[in-house]
Amino acid sequence: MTAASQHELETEVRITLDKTARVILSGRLDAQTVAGCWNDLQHLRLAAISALEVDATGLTFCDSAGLALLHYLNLGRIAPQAAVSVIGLEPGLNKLFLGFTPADYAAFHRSLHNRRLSLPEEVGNTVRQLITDLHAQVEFVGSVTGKLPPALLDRKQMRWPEVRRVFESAGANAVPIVSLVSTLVGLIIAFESAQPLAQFGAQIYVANMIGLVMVRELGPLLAAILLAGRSASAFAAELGTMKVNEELNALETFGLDPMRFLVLQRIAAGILLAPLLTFYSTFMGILGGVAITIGLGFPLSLILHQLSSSVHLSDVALGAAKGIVFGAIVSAVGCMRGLQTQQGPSAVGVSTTRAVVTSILLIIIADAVFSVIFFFLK
Amino acid sequence: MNELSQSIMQVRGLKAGYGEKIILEDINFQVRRGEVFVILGGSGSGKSTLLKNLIGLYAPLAGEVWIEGSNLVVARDDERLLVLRKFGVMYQSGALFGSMTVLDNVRLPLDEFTILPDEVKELVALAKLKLVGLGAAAQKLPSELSGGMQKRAAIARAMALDPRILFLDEPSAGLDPVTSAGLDLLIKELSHHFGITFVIVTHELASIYAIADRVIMLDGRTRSIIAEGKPVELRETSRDPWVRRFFNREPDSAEFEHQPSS
Repeated sequence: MTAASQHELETEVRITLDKTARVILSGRLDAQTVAGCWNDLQHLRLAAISALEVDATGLTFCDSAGLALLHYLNLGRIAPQAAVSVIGLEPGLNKLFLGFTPADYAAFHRSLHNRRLSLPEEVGNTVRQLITDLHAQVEFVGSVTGKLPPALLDRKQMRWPEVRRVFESAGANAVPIVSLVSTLVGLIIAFESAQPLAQFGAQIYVANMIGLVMVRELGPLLAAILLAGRSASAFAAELGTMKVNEELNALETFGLDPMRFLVLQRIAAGILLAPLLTFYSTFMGILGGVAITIGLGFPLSLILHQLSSSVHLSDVALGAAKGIVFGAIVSAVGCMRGLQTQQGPSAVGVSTTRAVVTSILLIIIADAVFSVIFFFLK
Repeated sequence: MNELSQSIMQVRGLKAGYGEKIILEDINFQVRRGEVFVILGGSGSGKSTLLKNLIGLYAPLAGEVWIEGSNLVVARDDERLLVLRKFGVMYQSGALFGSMTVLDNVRLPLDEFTILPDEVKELVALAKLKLVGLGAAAQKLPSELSGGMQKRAAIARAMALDPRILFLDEPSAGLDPVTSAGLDLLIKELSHHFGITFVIVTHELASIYAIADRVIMLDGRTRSIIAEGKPVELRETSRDPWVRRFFNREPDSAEFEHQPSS
C-alpha cells in the first residue's frame, strides 16, 4: 500500500472566470509521475488563459524530471500568452528551480539556430575543403619528389632496416591473399569467357585473352587494390596514431623531419614491392586461367605457345610501369592521410578510410591515363 | 543497526584482481549516506581496480558489494539494472561520446530509461548542464571543450537520472588548480544541496582536504586498507609513518617498500 501511495501524484487544474488557471500539485513529482501529469496539463494548451499559477505546496518529493516540468510551465511553453508563477516550492528546491532561468533557455535556443548552415554555406565549405585537400596533395607530392632522390643516395638518411620491415609487412605478408584473389580471378575470367568463345570454336583464345588481361590490366590493378586495402590503411593508421600520441611532435622537436624519418621509407618500400607483387599477381592469375584451359582439353605446349605469341615485352613493361606508379600512389596516399589525422577518438578511423578511398580512386584514374598514353604510343 | 541504515554502500570481504594476480584482499568499509568518501593510495595501490569492482565493471574474486540493499556482485540482470541506475560514474577522461553534442550526451540516459516527453528531457539535461556551469556549451561537441569542462559535462551526464551515489575517478587529474578547485566546490555543493553521496578516487591532497568527509587509504604492499578516518585526523594521529608522510606530502626513501612487488 505504502509503495503505491509513494508513487502517486495528484494534479488538480482549476480555471476561474477571470481566465486564471490554477494547477495544484500534491504528492510525488518524479520521473514516473511526470508523464501522467504532462497528459493532464495538455488541455491547458487549448484553453484561452491569461494567467497560470502553479501551486507546489503539496509536493512531498520532486526530482529533476519534476523540476524540468515546472521549468517547462514557467517558460510559458504550455500557455504562451499566460503570465506564469510557480509558488510553494520548499526553499532548497526553490533555489534549484531559480538556478535555471528563461534567459538560460533563450540562450540555448539561440545557439541551436546558429549551428545550422544554409545550403550555399555547405556548398562553399565543401568546395573550400576540396581545394585545400588538393593543395595539400600537390604540396605532399612536391615534398616527396624533392626529398626521395637524395635520401635514396644517402645510406644514413634512408633507414633501410625500416624499409625492409615495411617491405615484409606490406609485401611478403600480402602474398597469400594476392595468390588467392589473383588465381580465383584468373579462374573465373577463363571459365566465364570459355562458354561464349566455344560457340565460335575459339576456346583456345582463352589463353591469349587471360595473358593480355592479366599482364596489362588485372595483375597491376589487383595487386594495387589489395595493397591499398592492406597497406595504405596500415600506413594511415600507424602515422595517424603517432600523430594523435604526439610522437610526430616529438620527432619535430628533435629536428627530425617526419617526412624523411617515416614517410620516405614507406614510399620507397611501396615503389619497390608493388612491381614484384604485380608480377606475382599476374603469374597467379595466368596460372588460374591455364588450369581452366587445360581442363577444356588443350595441351600445355599449345597454351604456352598462345601465351607467348600474344603477350609482348611491351605489355610486360607496361604492367611493371603501372606497378611502380600504383605502388607510389598507394604508399604516398596512406602516409599523407596519416599525417593529416586530426585530433579526437574517431580521427584515426577517418584517416584510414580516406587513405583507402583516395588510393583506389587515384589508382583507377592513373590506370585510365596509362591506357590513353599506351594507345597513342602504339 | 543505526549505522547500517545510515550507510548507502557496504563492501564486505572484497578480493579483487586479474586472474592469478591478486591486487586487493579482504577489503571492508561502509559509505554513509550523503558523505564525500575518498579512496586514496599511491600509484599502483589498486584504487582504480577497487573502483571498477565497486561499479560492477569487473567481478570481484570474492566478497560482496552492497548498494542500497542489493548485492551488485550476485545481482541478476534486472536487479543489476536497477542498482546501476542508482549510481552515476564519471571516468577519468570524461568518456563523453565524441559524436554527440554535450546536451545529447546528458540526454542519452533519459532517452533510454525514462518515458518523459521530449521537451521535459531537454529541460532536465539543460538544467543539469546549467548546474555544472555548462549552460552555454550545450550544443558543443566534447572535442570543443577544455579538459575541465569535459569533466563537468561528464558529471552532468552521470547525474542525469538523479543517482544517489556518484563515483568519480580522479576528478582533479590533469586540471589546473583553479579549475580543480572549481570542481571541488561543485562536488561540495552537489553533496550539500542534493544529498548526493560521493565516492571519489584521487590522490590530490588539496582536494582531499577541501572535500573529503572520510577517507580510506589503500596500500599496494599489504593489499589492504591501512588507514580510515578524517583526513586531518589521519595526518595528525596516524601511527603509520607512510600515512603521515602521504598527508604531509613528505618524500620517503623507503617509499618503494609500499609499492606492489610486480
